[in-house]
Amino acid sequence: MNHDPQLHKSSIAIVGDSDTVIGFRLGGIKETNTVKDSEEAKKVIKDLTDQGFSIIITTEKIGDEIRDFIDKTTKTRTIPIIVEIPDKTGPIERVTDPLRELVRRAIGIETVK
Amino acid sequence: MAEEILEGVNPTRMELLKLKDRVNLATKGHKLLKEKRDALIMEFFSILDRAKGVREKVEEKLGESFNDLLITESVMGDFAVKKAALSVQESLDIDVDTRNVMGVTVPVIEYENIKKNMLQRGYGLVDSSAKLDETAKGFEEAIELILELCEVEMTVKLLAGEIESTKRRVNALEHNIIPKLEATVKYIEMRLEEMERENFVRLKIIKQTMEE
Repeated sequence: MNHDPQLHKSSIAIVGDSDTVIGFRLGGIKETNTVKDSEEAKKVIKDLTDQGFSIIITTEKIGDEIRDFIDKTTKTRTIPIIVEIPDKTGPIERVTDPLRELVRRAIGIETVK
Repeated sequence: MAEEILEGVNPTRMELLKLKDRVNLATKGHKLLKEKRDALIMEFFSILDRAKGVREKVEEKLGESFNDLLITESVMGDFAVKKAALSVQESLDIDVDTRNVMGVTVPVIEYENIKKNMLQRGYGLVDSSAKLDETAKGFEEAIELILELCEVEMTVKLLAGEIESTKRRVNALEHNIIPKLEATVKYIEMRLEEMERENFVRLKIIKQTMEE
């Protein structure tokens, strides 16, 4: 029995544009939220966090717009996990791979990936 | 190089003993933290191996799935696809647990029933195209990959943060606190010896004056 209230309910939610939402709905996720702009996304993600969703999927575009908010939400705790995925237009090209940047900061060397 | 010493210490024997204890503690802590850092880095590399390529896989799978979705929409019409999507039953069984790696809590995601067969999906088979089934299957597979991505990326992120702060503490102890403490110990020892010599000289002089 786990007494951490955060861990009791384990479910997955998606926040994104309507195409992303329809796709994931077909994949079997029931908690889908269509949002139009980043402000709305922020509100929805906050709601979902309060409701105890453990995984929140959102699109990279939204993620980039509300980066500060996501960092603040996920910095101090493990749950919820907010994961950003590319939308129908494909992945955003980044100058630095965020994962690689993290590795560089942690280990102090570049790893070839 | 004149090393810095702690401020506001009195050169007394009592203080010296206390400081020596502190040096011992700091050295012990330094050793432990170094071990923790090394263990974390090892764990980090092993998770990094897993993390390699997961994101690419997700991106690829999602690209395919969105393409399929587009085709399905053009075959069946937007509205019909939306209708089918709304009637899909949720059967995801996801369990997010946590695991402890050297004091860092990292998530472990377990899941069941993500892939379904046609009948379990819950939309009507009569008025849907076969492409819809393919699309749904594609997204089910994408979700599975995304869950894996979640776990791995979050773990990497948390471990990286912990490694960074541990490294900072190790370095602070190694390059700042321990040298400072040792310099202070040395300063007090020298000061005490000096006082002893002063005392010795003073006694000599007193003896001399008394003899005269």
